[in-house]
Amino acid sequence: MPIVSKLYRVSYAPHKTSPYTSKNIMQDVAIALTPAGLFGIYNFGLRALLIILVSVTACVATEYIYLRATKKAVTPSDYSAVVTGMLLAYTLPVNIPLWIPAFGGGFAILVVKMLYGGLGKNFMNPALAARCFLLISFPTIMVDYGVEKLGNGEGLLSRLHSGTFALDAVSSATPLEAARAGERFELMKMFTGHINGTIGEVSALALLIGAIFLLGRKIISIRIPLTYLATFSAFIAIFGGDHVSLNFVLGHVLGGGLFLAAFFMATDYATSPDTVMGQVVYGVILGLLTGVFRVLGASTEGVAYAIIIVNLLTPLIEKVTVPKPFGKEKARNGR
Amino acid sequence: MFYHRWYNLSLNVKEISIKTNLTYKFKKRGVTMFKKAFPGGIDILDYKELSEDENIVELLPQGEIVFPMLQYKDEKTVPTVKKGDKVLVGQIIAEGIDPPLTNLISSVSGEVKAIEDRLIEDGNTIESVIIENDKAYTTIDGYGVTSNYKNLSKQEIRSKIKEAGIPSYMKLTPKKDEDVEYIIINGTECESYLNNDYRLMVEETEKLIEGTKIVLKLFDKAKAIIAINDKRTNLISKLEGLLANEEPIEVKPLKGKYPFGATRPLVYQITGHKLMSEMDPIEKGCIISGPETVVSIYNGVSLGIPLIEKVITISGEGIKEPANFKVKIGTSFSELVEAAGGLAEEANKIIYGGPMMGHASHSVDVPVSQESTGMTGLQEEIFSEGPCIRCGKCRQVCPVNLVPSKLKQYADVKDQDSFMKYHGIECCNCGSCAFICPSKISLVQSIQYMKKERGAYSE
Repeated sequence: MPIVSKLYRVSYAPHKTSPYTSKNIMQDVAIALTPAGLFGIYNFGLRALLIILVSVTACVATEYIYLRATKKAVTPSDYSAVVTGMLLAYTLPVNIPLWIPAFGGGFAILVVKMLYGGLGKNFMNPALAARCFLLISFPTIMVDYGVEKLGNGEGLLSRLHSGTFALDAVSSATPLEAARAGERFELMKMFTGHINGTIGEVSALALLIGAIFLLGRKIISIRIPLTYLATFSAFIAIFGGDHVSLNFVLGHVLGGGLFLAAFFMATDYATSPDTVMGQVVYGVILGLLTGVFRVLGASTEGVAYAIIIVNLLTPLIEKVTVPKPFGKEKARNGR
Repeated sequence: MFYHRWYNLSLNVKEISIKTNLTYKFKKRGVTMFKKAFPGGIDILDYKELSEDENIVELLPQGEIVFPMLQYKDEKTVPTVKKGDKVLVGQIIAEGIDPPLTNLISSVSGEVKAIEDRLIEDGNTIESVIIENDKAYTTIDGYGVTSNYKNLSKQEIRSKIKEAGIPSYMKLTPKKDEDVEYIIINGTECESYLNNDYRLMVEETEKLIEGTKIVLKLFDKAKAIIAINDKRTNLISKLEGLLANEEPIEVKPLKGKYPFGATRPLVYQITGHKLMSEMDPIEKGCIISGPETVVSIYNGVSLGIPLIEKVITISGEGIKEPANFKVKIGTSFSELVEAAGGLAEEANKIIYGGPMMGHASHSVDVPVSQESTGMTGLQEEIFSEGPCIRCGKCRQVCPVNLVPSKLKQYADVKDQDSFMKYHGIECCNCGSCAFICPSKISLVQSIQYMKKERGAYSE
């Protein structure tokens, strides 16, 4: 006589899974990006907040509309569109018109992500691909880092509105532009972020805080950022030209959005290799390519192009670096 | 959103405090305490505290006794009795006709009621011998004849093991006895919820040691190593106390990272040899046995009692009173579940074995067989399967260095060549990848399917 009278679920092992889902991962990445965003708002004023919000809304809305229109399951609740929106906003200068982040967000989600298959199937980093698209399509607007200088007698409201940089800065050139003109890098300012640049890339400190959070949570591994930064520094040190010095190398590492790219964009899951050796190769190629663009390129925008080019190489890298299974590699002690 | 890695530092109030735990580990292993024991693996909550302190309770069967014609490694078994025959305890009721030639032995006395198909743990129905228990437990002649293993030759010990119906007979008869270097007693029990091996080792420690000595007599050059989870500090101290003068038996505590009890990680941790999937451990001079087998070897050789009883754990959040039972082989699991208080209201899954590698089933009317370990009643949290985000976590935790996300990709489109190029056949079925996958993809199922297509033996 059966003692149970209800239906039981029968499925294949394993029957317990860890409670950590991809939504949790994306939420953690969004949390890790917040310090950089907060600093950007502090530095550049409330317009930066507006750009971030517009970008995020455009990304989420595009994803929602697309999934509804194609009658697929709706997954904007998994925060990946939010992360793409934040990353895109962080690569934009503060004084651009608001239709740029909206348009860029739509492009990033629709063309780079959704049309190629959705979550996990994008072949390029969506935020960076959108940025490159905007750079090519609207070049004069996108490189306008001009910030309206305000006088010292302004009150708190103006400080909030325009950001600290507008009040304290001497010139509105980005550090890399200034270096091309022959000036030295002001490393401390570049580390804390009191410089001009795009919204998210200025403060290496805030980005580091976020990166340490992600590393501690085991969401990203140190492999790609470390190999990337190490190769890049070595390349700059060797090929940087006449005025190579410690200041020069460190300045190049801290400036131009390299930190943002190394920790948050190069480590994007869908576009980086999933094998250990593959990640090392990826970091090295990225470092070399960024170095080439920085030293020999006409604009100061090496990183974005380098990353999307190496993203295209990822499937090839994965194919070449298949890990050897347990037992096929040489055992220790030569047994 | 809590990070389950921190479990190993959380307080398990029934054990001694964390400080002594860490000091013990450090004393035993030195700096290698921080070293990785084997590649990959996951830290999981093993919920063993639900039943680890419950003493084994003997349960006599109430209903009919069912013996499925199923043996180790799918060998063919045929019944040697027919309907209407009277059987006694210790009588052979089925024998294997292909090697490894193990016999099934009746655990009760009574009459053969029928020979028909019955449900077993993994969901198949198989021909079974069904015996009506007369509750008298009359034994056959020659049952219970004691002997001293020291006076027996190797051949005599082996034939006694075979007569006792213990499936390891073939394992213990390699081509050359001198090849065997290690006898590994796998007391690790890495599956969650199960405590049957642990309770057996705690309550019958002397039998375990005597059984190990019997096995050691068969192999002159071998050393015995009892592998155990290093959080079982009481048992480890007890074993070390009893083994103080016994060469060559050694206790080796292992870091409790799932799946440290699987064949290949275990051999690697103890001997440093790396095995591939098709290799038998004997090729590297190891024989792996469970503590239950060793105790039944002692029973069979020294006490003349065949393998007719098993220790089973009934545990899980879906069971009202988790417990450990000693039952006759052939008892229905329904009686055990009733003795454990029954299934709770919220239970929505019945698993034979543990949650990582066990079989889910729809019914508790399944007999205890020689390979049963326990039953878990779970309240499963159901996630919907999402797309692969290519995070690489599955590759990080695989103990065999594979890339499960790629393997599933190829398995789903039935691309056998790419599957083999990515070494899919090496998969050891531990389930770590599917456990950690943030999108809850059914990785093990697809890889298993592809392995079966290639004709690989699935563990």
